[in-house]
Amino acid sequence: MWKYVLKRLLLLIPVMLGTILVVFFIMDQSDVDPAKVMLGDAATEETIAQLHEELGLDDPFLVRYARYVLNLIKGDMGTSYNYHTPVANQIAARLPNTILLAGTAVLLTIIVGIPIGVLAAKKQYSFFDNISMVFCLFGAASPAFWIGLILVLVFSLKLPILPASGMGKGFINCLLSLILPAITLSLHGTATAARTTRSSMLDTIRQDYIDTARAKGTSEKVITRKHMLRNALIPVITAVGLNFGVLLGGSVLTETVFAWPGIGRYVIESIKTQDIPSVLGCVVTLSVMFTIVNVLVDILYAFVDPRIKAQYKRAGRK
Amino acid sequence: MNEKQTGNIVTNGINSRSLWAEAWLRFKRNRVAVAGLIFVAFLIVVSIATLVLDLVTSNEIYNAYVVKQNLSLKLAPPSAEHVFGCDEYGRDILFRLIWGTRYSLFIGVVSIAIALVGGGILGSIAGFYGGKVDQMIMRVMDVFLSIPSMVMAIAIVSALGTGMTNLLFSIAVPQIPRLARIVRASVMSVKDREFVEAARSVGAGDFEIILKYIIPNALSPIIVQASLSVGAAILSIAGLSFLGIGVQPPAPEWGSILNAARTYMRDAWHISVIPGLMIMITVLSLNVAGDGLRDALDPKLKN
Repeated sequence: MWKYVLKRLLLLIPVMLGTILVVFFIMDQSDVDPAKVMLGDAATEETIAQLHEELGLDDPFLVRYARYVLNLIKGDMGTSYNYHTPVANQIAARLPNTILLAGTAVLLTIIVGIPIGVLAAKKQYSFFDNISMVFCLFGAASPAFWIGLILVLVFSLKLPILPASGMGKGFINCLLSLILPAITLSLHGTATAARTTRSSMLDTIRQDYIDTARAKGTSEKVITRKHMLRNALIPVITAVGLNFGVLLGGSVLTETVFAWPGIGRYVIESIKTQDIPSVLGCVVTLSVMFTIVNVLVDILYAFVDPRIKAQYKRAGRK
Repeated sequence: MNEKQTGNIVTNGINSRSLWAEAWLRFKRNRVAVAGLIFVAFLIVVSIATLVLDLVTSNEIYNAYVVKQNLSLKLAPPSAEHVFGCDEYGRDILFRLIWGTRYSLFIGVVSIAIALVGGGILGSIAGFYGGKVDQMIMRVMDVFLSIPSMVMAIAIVSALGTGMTNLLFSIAVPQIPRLARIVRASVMSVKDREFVEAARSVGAGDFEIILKYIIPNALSPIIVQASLSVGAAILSIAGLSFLGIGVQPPAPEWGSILNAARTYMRDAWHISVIPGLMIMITVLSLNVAGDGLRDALDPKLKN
């Protein structure tokens, strides 16, 4: 099995290089001249040409890409035009906040979405099932940032119990300020997770081994937990993993709504000031995060799906 | 008459309706999906009607009611005269919502059409030829898939600017790999069937086989995925406009109406509530219609 894990980890390298290539290519299409932005109003044609030479801005695309990747490995993402400090420092200061928000949202997705799905499937066509599926339909169709606005309207303005924006200092305040953004960000994923869990549970409920387990006299609790849920979980893991991408995209919107000091808000701020290195750095960071999560999900399969385990055991024995 | 009768005798016992007629019958029985479809059709009619009105009145209504600022009505709450109230420039929100319909629908449909062409070409080449070509295309698609679609859209818009073409492009490109995967899978599921072999044996070329025999038979999952993607595209465009990097003011795109909502939330709740509801109902209708289409085309997939 470790062979499988190692293979996935090694696969991470070409995918990351490819991802950075695509992002670098997109950002390279910008017609903002970095030298002009950096020099500001004091720019003359000569100084611009000189800076082009210094920074290697006129080098071929692949040379610049290779240089960017090599610098990235050293932890250098260039200098922000706006702050005149290394982009890496700006991102490092905000990344933990984004991870905190996204992590809480994923946690909410799992601890709310999966139980809803399980209950809905166990009581198919019941009132609870109908209500929760309607909730899922609405959840998947609402713009998350709009839900955020509504939550602020209700819980910060009408009933002022939770902060509307920013990140609170200290543990309690931070936790309080985390509640609304995390709910906002998790909504879409919760809906998807509940729906996937329900349909996947319904598939396993009809399997013969469930009847066998019942015939043996296994308690219903154990059947639900061990025989149904464990088998139903694989597509759910896929859905939650894929949804992490939607979640990272959504974090840009959510962070803007709640003025959360994370990467998502930084990328929008940087776009407005034409701070290309910062935009590039943020997009690369978010994409690399998603890539890493995808690989972690792949590795998780090895532990959840016995078929993968068996495949590699057999290969090992040969 | 006679011929028709023989036809009936031959297919006796077998359902002689075509796949699409059969699917339509099943779709009609799904009341929620039909309601969704009706609402989408209504929105299409509204957006065409406003376009025609603008053409006939040479933008008179648009200029007088949709974009003209009237500061005496700034943030006016809903009333009999302005059912949904007014925005931060005193413009009637109902008018802006009606005139904004075209943006969401147009961008949603056209961007998915672009993605469908791109994903369709890549997916059918990968699925039809298999082997190394397939490997290469799908690895590139994997790379694109590992960039979150909203993040990629933001990157594209920030590099190229916020023109309409760039917006369409920024919504379409992230959808290409998903559609390519679906097209590839459905092409692979039909490419070894007998009718493809028959077409090849009478001398049809690869291009003709893909276009005439494979795509029409692999169409249903592709249509379902595309119809569900339109909803996602509408959410993306609303998000971009909300961030200020989508459809630019004074155009009344739904997401850009929400852009002001946050600033004026304390004084005017109606700006934040109503446009979002509109987006939600539209996407919901598209989603239930898409789900209904899926169940109608492939009853086995239900649940």
